[in-house]
Amino acid sequence: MGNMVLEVRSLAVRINNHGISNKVLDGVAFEINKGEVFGLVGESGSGKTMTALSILKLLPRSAVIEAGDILFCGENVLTMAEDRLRRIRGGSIAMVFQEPSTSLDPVFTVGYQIKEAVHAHQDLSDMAAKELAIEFLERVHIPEPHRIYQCYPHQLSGGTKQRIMIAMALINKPELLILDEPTTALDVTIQAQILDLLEEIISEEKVSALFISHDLGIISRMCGRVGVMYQGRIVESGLKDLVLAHPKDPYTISLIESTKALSR
Amino acid sequence: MLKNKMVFVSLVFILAILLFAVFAPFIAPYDPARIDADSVLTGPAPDHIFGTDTLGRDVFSRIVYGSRISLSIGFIAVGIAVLIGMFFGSIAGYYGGRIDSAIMRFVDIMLCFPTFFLILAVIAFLDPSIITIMAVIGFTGWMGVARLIRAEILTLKERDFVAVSKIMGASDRWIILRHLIPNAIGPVLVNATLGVGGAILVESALSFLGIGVQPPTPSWGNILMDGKSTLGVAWWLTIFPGLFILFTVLAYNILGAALRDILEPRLN
Amino acid sequence: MIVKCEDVKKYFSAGRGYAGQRNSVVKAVDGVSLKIEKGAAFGLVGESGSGKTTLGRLILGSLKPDSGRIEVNTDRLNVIFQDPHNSLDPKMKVFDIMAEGLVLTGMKRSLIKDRVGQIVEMVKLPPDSLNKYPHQFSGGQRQRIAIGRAVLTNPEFIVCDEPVSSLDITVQLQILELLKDIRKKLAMTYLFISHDLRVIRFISDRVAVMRHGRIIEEGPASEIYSNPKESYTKTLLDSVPEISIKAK
Repeated sequence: MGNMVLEVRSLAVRINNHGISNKVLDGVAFEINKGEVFGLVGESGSGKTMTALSILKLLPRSAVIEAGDILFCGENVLTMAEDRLRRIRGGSIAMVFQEPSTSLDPVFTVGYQIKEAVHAHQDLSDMAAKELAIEFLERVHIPEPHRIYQCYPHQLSGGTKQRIMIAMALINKPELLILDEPTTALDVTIQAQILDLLEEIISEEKVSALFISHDLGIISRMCGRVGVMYQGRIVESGLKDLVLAHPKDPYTISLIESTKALSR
Repeated sequence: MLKNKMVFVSLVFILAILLFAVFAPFIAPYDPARIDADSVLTGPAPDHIFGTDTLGRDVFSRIVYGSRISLSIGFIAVGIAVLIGMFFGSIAGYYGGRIDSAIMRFVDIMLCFPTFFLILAVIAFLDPSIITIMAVIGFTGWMGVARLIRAEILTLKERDFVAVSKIMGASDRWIILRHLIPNAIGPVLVNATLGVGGAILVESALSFLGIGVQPPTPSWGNILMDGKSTLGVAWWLTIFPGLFILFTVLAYNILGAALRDILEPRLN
Repeated sequence: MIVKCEDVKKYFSAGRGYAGQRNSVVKAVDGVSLKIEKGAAFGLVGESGSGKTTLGRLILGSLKPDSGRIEVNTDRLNVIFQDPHNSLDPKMKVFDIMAEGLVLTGMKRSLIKDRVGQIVEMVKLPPDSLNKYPHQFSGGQRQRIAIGRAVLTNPEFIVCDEPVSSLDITVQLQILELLKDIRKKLAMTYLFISHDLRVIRFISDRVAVMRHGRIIEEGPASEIYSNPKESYTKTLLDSVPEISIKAK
């Protein structure tokens, strides 16, 4: 254990749907050390989201974990008791998804939902929870946090909602933050702001992070080490600068070249 | 799994009834109109497996020939309903606006009528012939299809492939017939399958009341009518046609539900 | 000049309050003027809500402007849409999808078969694709089908509305190369709409930046990307995440 927050060993996951069986993860292995931001980059179908969902055992019912271990701070998530797992989800391991509009419940105010997140993991009075919520709304640079606290999701922009998701993820001081394409659904100017926010808050909170994206530009900005995923496997991994400057795997090479072809 | 077995059994049953209808002359042991004064109201026996009725006619043969009536009325009535429904539904859905409102109000008005009594009224007014029955069931049963088609078309017409066709110069008729209807037909198939069962029930009810298919033409409903007056002494006149109506309608309902599961898969 | 827009406006009313309150108006396109010359690859870039898609539909004729003039000096135009799942009729075979434009003109069947065969080669689809259905193909291949369909009607002008946004980046590059290739071979004029500045930069020679229904900057692509004048354009360009290799 020691320095590793997350260790994934030979993870194999299969999906069975209406008689068709598909191996979506085929021996995925990587580690995330304390305090680092590890990037998982891959295109659609590479298995990156499946990997993230496996870490919290949030896979769809049609998915079967065939092999592998997922060690979070030394404990194996896959063999954990359900109620211990529930305490970890949203608490020690928090996740921010791609689509902010479906992550928030439309019938409750955002303030109520943040408070709910606090109550699920911390023993605070309602008043204290609300104060904490407002504090975090400020930390994610939401202007007029008291007003936004009372708003319903549909009244807010995508960027604001994603900031709220980030606040909800960090409010319980997680050890590991999983970000699955957190900016993909946002406009490019908002994307840049959210990435700025994430950089700032990850270093402030000193939280370890798994950053998933299809965009090499974003990955190269946010991460220290990267893993390149292709068809359910990590085909190359290592220090970001090394992988990007001296890629060895043919898929990595084509990914970098395509991205560069569309760059300046 | 149990559900799949039920669907399979239903399919087999429907096929059997279809075979009855098509090959009736070969399957029925007797002429359904053959009167036999000596064998009036005899129970099930080796020579009359479903017994005989008040005129000595073989019930089994009458049921076999009756399947022709029930199925043809079922299919044609539903066919008429689907055609009318597709016409109104696609025009309402595609053009929207006032045309849509007008057609939907018309649908609402039609839905206000208690269908069965409407059919009774129309039949009482006209002659209860098989064609009239088919037409009346069809003309009073299209509203569900219209709504379904309209709902599908409302979303389908916004799809990009429709926009592309328009830009390439396709006429409204082309778009409706070539693109929209083939894509909208799924729910209609389900509705139609269930509708066959419904039509068979309506026909049986009308015949049972004496204003449907007239004897000597055999129909499951009018055999039941015979059975009404002889319920105490000849249970076979009620039970056998009743069972056929029951199982046929049940089979179409199960098939309809299965089609719904196939064509409109629910997310797990 | 293939397309000319003069002060085009298109407003939408967005919903009504239940107490009979006045509709709120969305000014999707709020006074846009532009010219697209024959043979040009004109890129229209903007974020969501900028009005670029609405402007595209107005130029295509799918929508009518509320005010202003749109002049399209050709009737040989076609379109390629973003979502390869949405732009192909799932119940039609690929051959019929691609041939539809020609069938609508009443062309002879044998001639249509020849032309479709040629185009299938040009868009690099496997020859046995014609008998299959869209769902049997990947996103990139479906876009090739859509491109083939567009090209078959022998257009002078194609509007490409986010044609590669739903695709993986390696596939994006292939499709963009195909579009470039077609432009060279057939002297095509493009209106290219996208939110992705990298894509617009790759394929356009002239670029217009849209925001809140207006064009805030326009010029040759090289100029806009190297020397943006408006602050919004600068912000937009700075926001694009490029690969950076430096110590983290």
